[in-house]
Amino acid sequence: MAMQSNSTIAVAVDSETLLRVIATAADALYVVDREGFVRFLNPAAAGILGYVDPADLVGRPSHTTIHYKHADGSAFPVEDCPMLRVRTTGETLHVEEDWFVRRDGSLVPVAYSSAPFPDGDGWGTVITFRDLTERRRLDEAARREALERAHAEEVRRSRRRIAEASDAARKRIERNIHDGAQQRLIAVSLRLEEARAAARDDPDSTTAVIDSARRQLRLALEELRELARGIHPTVLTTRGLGPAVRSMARRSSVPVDLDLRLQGDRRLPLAVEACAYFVIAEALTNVQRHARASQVTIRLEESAESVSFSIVDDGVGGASIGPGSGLSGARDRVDAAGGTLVVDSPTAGPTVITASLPIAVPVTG
Amino acid sequence: MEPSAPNALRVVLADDSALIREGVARLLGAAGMEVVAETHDTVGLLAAVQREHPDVAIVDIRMPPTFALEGLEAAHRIRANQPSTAVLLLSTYVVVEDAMDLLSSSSGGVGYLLKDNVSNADEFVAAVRRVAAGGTAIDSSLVTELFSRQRRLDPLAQLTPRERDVLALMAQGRSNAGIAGELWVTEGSVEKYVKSVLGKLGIEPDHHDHRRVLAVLTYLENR
Repeated sequence: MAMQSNSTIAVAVDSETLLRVIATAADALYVVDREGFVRFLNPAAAGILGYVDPADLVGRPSHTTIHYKHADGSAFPVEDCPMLRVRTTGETLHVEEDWFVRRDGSLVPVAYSSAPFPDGDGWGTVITFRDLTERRRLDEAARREALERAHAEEVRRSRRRIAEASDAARKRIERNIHDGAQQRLIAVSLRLEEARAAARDDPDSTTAVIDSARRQLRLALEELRELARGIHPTVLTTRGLGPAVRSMARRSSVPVDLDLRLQGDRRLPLAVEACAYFVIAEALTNVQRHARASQVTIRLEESAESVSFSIVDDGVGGASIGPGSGLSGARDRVDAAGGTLVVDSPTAGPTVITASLPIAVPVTG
Repeated sequence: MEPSAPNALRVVLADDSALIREGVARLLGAAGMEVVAETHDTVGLLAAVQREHPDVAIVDIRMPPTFALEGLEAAHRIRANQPSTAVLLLSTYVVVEDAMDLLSSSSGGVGYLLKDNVSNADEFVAAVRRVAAGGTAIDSSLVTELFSRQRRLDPLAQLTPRERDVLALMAQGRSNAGIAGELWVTEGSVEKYVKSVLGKLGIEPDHHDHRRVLAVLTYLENR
């Protein structure tokens, strides 16, 4: 049996030498007798457990002194303790991670082995253990570093997506101005030239030509106004999120039920208002384009710390945050604002998009 | 330009764009009105209004220094301190809240028009005259936007096309006589339409035109 070889070593050196060896050992060691009391501990064990004088622990019940609670502070009943059960099973036990209680009540993470040894007509146990504090600290640091690396990578990716989305939006705006307002204004210019000639040669037709030019101008103005609104609606700047969302709802082709729970006329930081506005706009655009919904409900609620909102439609569902999709851009915006966005859209619907943004925007690296 | 008639409406213009001021001034001049002062900001506007006591101040809502709601704030001050001067606000965008803000602070003598529509000379000049006479003028685009809001159970669906026309004109601030002229019907018929529309929608009838505008717009906004 295992303890027989142990005692063989014990008799191979004189007890004075043995005690010196144990006292010098880097690993902590203590001995519990068959009654469960601490009989001996080496300086390494006393150091880890916070006893200046090892004698203060000797003679105390082992479990109820150094092993009586779990990491979460809950009680650790002695009858559940495998360490002392060694005294009845006679089998050596290795535990990779557990917690011992220091003299001041604080917990110390340890790895230990508990090995039985004969004590009179029963079994005591020899416990060797190591303080895991440093290892845990390193593990934790490595874990955090990996997490930060992953986060930094995601931030880089999301920055790239935001930059790409911004480039794409600029291209779209340029295209719209070119195809719309610019062409119309050129047409107006041509019509006016025509009117100038008509005024000289055929005064009666001048009015008709000018009227046509004015119609083109009116359309150009409307297009420019819509474009400017899409870039950044004035009402968001001057009146805030609630009025801007009300205006958006009025213009929706799908009927919108609004549930706005705003705190009076309180204004939020501009970045928060813009983020909420454009995410709601993106969600509503999605509903109008793809959902085939008969109704959409926009809920918006402010608290002291956050603004949360949801867009729920009764359409066909199946919306997702695909790469390059509008919702992906919305997610990036929300991430950049330190918030959360969740899309729940089972096949056959309903689609529920919920988001929450902190009002005090955290400074992130 | 011909000299204005002695009883011509006297107008102060405030807009930070000299191009717009010039265009509007020409248009008003052609309609026989007299532009007594032009200014590019609210400080100049308030001073000119105090000095000239004009019949109407035509004010761009967005002016220096912040280009937000300077014109609206100036409108409130003018209406509070000098009620004999009517205020017509011009805006590039239809913002319902701005229009309601202006209307609810006054009992008439105010108007809210989209800048685009200023080039509709006849309508613009009519709106200037209406507010100068203590009436109310709301841009038809704002009313159209309120009408166009989609509702699943739309109470406006119970109105006949003619009743919808009457409702839209009421929302623009037209009097019964004005609506009658616009729709080529008698004032008596307009009264019947108005009664029917307000009854169907559950809006409290009000013989005061300005309060009627407010009630109708509030209804349309919240339906």
